[in-house]
Amino acid sequence: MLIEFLIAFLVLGIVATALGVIISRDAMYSALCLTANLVLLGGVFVVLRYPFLGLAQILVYSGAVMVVFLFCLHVLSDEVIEDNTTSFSAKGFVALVSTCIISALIWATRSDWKELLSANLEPKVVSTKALAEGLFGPYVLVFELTSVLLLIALLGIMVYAVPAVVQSIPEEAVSDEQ
Amino acid sequence: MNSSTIFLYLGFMLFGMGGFGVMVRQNPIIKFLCLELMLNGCNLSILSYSRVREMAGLPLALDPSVVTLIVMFIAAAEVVVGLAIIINIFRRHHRIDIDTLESY
Repeated sequence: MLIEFLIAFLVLGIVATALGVIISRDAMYSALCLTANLVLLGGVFVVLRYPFLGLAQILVYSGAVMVVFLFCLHVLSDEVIEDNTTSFSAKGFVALVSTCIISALIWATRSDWKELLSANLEPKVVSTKALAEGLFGPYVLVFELTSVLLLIALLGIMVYAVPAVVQSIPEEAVSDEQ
Repeated sequence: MNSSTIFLYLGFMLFGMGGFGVMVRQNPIIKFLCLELMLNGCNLSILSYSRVREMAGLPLALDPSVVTLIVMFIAAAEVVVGLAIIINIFRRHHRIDIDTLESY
C-alpha cells in the first residue's frame, strides 16, 4: 500500500515539475522545477531497483549539472532570463506533434503487452558490482570513449572560456608575416 | 498494470513534453532544460522497459544500467559545452535571441 502511494507521488510530482519547466516564464523557476524533477526521477530509479543509478542521478544531475545551469543563469543578465518571446504561433500544432510522438512510442511497445503483463516475476536489485562488471567488461570500449568525449568537451570549454587567447592567435600570425 | 509499465509511459510523456518545450520556447536556456527533460525521459524508458521485459522473462540485448550511465555522461558533456556557447554569444552581443542568431 505504501509503495503505491510512493509511486503515485513520484508520477504526479514528475509530471507537475515537467509542466513547470515548460510553462514558467522565468528561467530560474524552470531550472528549480527541473531540479525537483531530477530528484524525483532518482527516486523512480530506486523504486525500479537501480539504487546506484538513482544516487548517480541525484549526484550528477541535481548536484553538478543543475549547479552549472544556475551559475549560467546568474552570469547572464535578467533580460535573458526572462522569456519575452513565449508566443509561438504554432503551439497547437507542436502539441499535436508531441502527442503523436508519445502515442507512437506507446504503440511501438504494445506488441508484447499481453505476455508482459501476465508475467509477474519479482525484479532483482542491480548492485553496483554488477554495474561495474558491465562497465569494465563488455562495455569497456564505450566507457573509455566517453572519457575521451568528456576530455574533448573540457578542451572545447577552455577554447570558449578564454576568447582573448583564441583571438590573439591570428593577430600574432599576421604580425609574424609582416 | 504494474509499476514498470506506468514508469515506461511516464518516460514517454517526459520525452514528449521535453520535445514540446524545445520546439515552443524561445529562450535558449529553457530549450536546454527541456533537452534535459527529453534525455531523462529516454533514461527512464530504457530502465523501465528493461524491467518490463525482465519480469516477463524475455532476454535483454544490452545492459540497461550501463546504457543509462553513458547517456548521463553524454548529457553532462553536452550541457557544459552548450552553456559555454550561450555565455560566449552573450558576452559578444549582450543578448541572445534565437530568431536573430543568424545575423549576429
